[in-house]
Amino acid sequence: MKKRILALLLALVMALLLAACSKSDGQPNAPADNPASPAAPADKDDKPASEPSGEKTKLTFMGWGTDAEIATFTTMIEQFENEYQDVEVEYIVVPDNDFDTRLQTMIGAGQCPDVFYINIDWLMKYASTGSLYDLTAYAESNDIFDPDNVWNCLNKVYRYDGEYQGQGNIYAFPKDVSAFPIFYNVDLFKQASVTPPTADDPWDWNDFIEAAKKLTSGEGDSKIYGTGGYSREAAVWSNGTEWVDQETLTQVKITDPAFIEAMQFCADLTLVHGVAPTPEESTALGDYDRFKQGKLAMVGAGTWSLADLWANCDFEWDVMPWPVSPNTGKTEIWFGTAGLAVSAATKNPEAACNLAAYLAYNEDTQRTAYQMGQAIPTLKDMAYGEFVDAGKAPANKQVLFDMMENTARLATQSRTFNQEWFAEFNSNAAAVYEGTMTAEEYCNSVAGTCQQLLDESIALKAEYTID
Amino acid sequence: MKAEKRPAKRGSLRRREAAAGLLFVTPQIIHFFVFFLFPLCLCVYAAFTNWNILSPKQTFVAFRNFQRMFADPKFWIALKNTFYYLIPIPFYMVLSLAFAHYCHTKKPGERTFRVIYYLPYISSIVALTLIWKWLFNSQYGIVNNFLALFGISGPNWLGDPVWTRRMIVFMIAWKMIGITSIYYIAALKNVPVSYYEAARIDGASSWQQFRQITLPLITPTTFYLLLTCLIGSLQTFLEVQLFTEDGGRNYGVASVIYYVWQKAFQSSQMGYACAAALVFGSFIMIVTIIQFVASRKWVYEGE
Amino acid sequence: MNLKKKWSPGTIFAFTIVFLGACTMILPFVWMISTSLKEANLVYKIPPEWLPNPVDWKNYIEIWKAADLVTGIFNSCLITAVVLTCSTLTSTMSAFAFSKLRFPGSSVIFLMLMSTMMVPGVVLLVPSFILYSKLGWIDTLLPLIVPVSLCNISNIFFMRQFMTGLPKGYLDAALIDGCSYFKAYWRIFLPMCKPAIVTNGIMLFMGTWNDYMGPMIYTHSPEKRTIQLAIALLSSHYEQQTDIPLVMAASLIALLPVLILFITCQKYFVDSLALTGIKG
Repeated sequence: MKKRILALLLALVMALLLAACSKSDGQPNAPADNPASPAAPADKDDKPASEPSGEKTKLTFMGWGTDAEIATFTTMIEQFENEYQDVEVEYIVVPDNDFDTRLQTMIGAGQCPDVFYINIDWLMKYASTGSLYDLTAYAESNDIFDPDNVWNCLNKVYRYDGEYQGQGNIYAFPKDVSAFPIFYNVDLFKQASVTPPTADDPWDWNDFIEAAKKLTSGEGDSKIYGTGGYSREAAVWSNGTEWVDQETLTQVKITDPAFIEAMQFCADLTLVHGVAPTPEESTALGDYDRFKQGKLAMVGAGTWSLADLWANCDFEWDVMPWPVSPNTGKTEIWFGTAGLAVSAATKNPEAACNLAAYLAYNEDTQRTAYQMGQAIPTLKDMAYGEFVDAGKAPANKQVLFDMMENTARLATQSRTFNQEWFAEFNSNAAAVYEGTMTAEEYCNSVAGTCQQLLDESIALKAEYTID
Repeated sequence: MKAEKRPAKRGSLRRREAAAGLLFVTPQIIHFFVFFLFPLCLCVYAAFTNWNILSPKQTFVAFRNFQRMFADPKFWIALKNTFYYLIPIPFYMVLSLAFAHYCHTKKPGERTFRVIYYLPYISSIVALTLIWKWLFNSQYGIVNNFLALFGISGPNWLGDPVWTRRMIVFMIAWKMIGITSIYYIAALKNVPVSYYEAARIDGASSWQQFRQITLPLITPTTFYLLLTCLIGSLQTFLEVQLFTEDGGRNYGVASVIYYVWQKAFQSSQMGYACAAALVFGSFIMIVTIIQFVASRKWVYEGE
Repeated sequence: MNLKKKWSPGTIFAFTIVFLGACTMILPFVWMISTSLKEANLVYKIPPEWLPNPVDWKNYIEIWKAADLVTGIFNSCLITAVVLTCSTLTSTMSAFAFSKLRFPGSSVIFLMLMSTMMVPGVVLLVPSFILYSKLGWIDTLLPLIVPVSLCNISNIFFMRQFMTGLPKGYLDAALIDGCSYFKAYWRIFLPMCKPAIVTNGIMLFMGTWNDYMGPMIYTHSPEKRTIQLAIALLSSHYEQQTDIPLVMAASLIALLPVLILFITCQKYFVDSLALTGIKG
């Protein structure tokens, strides 16, 4: 008897649960009963191209981000919907770690969102496979933004001509931009009586080493290092050389003596001069965190960290440019950016383009981004104007602007079809910093594999490109 | 009962039994065909193409994906590492049996311990990884500070792939003891008390009882655990992804599934990934079949 | 006398070992609690602090605002409840068939099902997504419910192992009494499997509750978010942008239901003992 009651109860619970479940699935936008739902935006087959009048155009927009960024975009989307009354946007947030997995899965199943974030490293992959909508025509004839008011480097990076990134058609609009300067601890500089370099009188590597030596002090737990790991990109490029030749992007050049010299310079900061943490110390406490704790005088970091530094540093800090190479007198560094792309499969290209441009070049978006301390404005007038006037650290914002105008460029690995060769190069680079291999030995040992992986990436590009 | 009537009756019984059996496994058969075989067929097909997820363009490339994979040193490194991740299985199975025995014999504190031993497994892996990184920090982590008490200078757990691998092995064992012991506790409860009583009368020691009665009678559970843990460990992935970037120095931490994942979603070579997964899946299948065949020799099958 | 028996030297030795093991198990957990009560900027303080100073309870309040935990918990509960109910039924039924009934192709079908465990899920992701989108299941909870409800092979396997140990005589007796096969399963074998059902139930609960990849791939609207997805959205690969205390607080909240379930089931483990000790 008891059993029967139990069985009855079980069945009841199950029925209830299933009902509750199908109820929550049976909402108006459940794809099963409504093929035009936002969940199936790219469902081309069974939907007429032109909307019946009165029905709203539906767009899906997918991005990642912190709570602050999500809040900003939610507001921006509301504004957009107010301005474009006939468009309705569904905003999908995916954790950034899994964004690309998710995006590729959706594209693979023909369910690509209309507008989505794009990682600059992967622009070529998405563009060459025909996943991205060509924004060139739109960019030339729209009234949402003025290309002259955008940092020049940003106007180029999202272009791709089927061969090279940085030229050709436009495939995305910049969502944000981050410079990567050296952040320094002003208090430590004062204690060691080191004066930071100025634009007219830049440091070269030797000045940098001298300064770092003065800034290094203490032992054990109170050890203060002069500098964190030196950006290999900054060292290599400033020294007038490259991972891969810049003309054709087909030849790995890491065995170039200038390259080896630059890499050895980075490693010698630890090995010879003892002014930077060892690789082991860096795994224990990252350079950036060490800097935040006042135990590191100079560190290369992105402007996406501004908010964190505002909130968590109890010392004064500022930014400075990367030193020039004594061989060339030049300096170069990379900048970071993420874009907003439109799906090639979108049924409403115009509305989607409007949304992408609106979100990318909207003043409020840019304003919120810099106020949140996540990025510097992509709009020049805003950067030079209110961003400076806001008076937040760093004091020397001109350093950032110089980078954006002159010395910052897209990283080499972002310009190749995939980054496997670069990952291979980095895979065991710590061996040089530990002193178990010299830069020369290391570069010679990995050059072959890197070249092979680069060749494979070029072959893949050819194979993936659809005409 | 008349002799000539029996075959007919037996036949109809057989048919009824067969019908009932098939009916009982219908949901599984539906699942197999819809949710497994269909995606699998796509996967098998893709393994012979250069499908890249993103573009609809697919070309038949015959065995190219397989050739490339076997020629890729990274695949072999990943395979070697994957075998490394099998090391903890016997250790934690023995330990969990010991722990289950401890609980089963109602030793002091067993209820509390059971909950505690279960904690690692139920905590979210993301939070656990953050904590492990902190515990195994080479300079400030509690593990190395503890080792320093004995004058041992701890290794660079997170920087040196050899030690990261050891750490992951340790983590797997640590995480699995509690959960496997649950299965063993259930199994131990299922051993009839009367067997032990009979053995005690015969004067068998506790160790003899354990060897002669307990161990053989829980072999179905042991077999189950061995098989599922092996399949699970061969598919180690999250630990690698969460603890390292790009599989660690010299790819020294990466597992095969991590390799497959990288190929599928980092370089978008879905066809290649499918090929690798198929090869590895077949390998797992062979191992499983061997285990099933071997199981006839040592697994207790009831009366 | 009783005390003496309870604390024999062997027991003391065993207790010490188990106790030491327990310390290592509980340590990260304590650290989790401690971190969840810290202010974000004190997480990486050197040397590490075990007792947060100041103790900051606000993470536990903030978390309900920062992540939509209520929706997450509701969805996760819904999924878990349906999956637990359906899957337990389907697994026990098929395990009963595989272990006690003779039907054509039973071992082939069983091996077929076993093979589903062997293909890495990663590569089936895209094909499955295509399938679910054709079925119109994207952004519903169905992909997280239906497949596992129909078939959970590791549960079936364990259940089969368990039922193999049960005497077949019960089935014959029941059939002679005029029971149908279903009745024999329902009235006799199902109740005898309680310990295995509880064990499987816990595992299934865990797996469903902690599943992250599935919800991440197959759902996207905030109303369909599960608890794990809500937590994942709090952490980011820019570690500086991750509010670690908040993640820890959310993880602890997510852990509670599983823990409560487990502690409750403990009692059940012990009670069900009498039911199975029949053989022999």
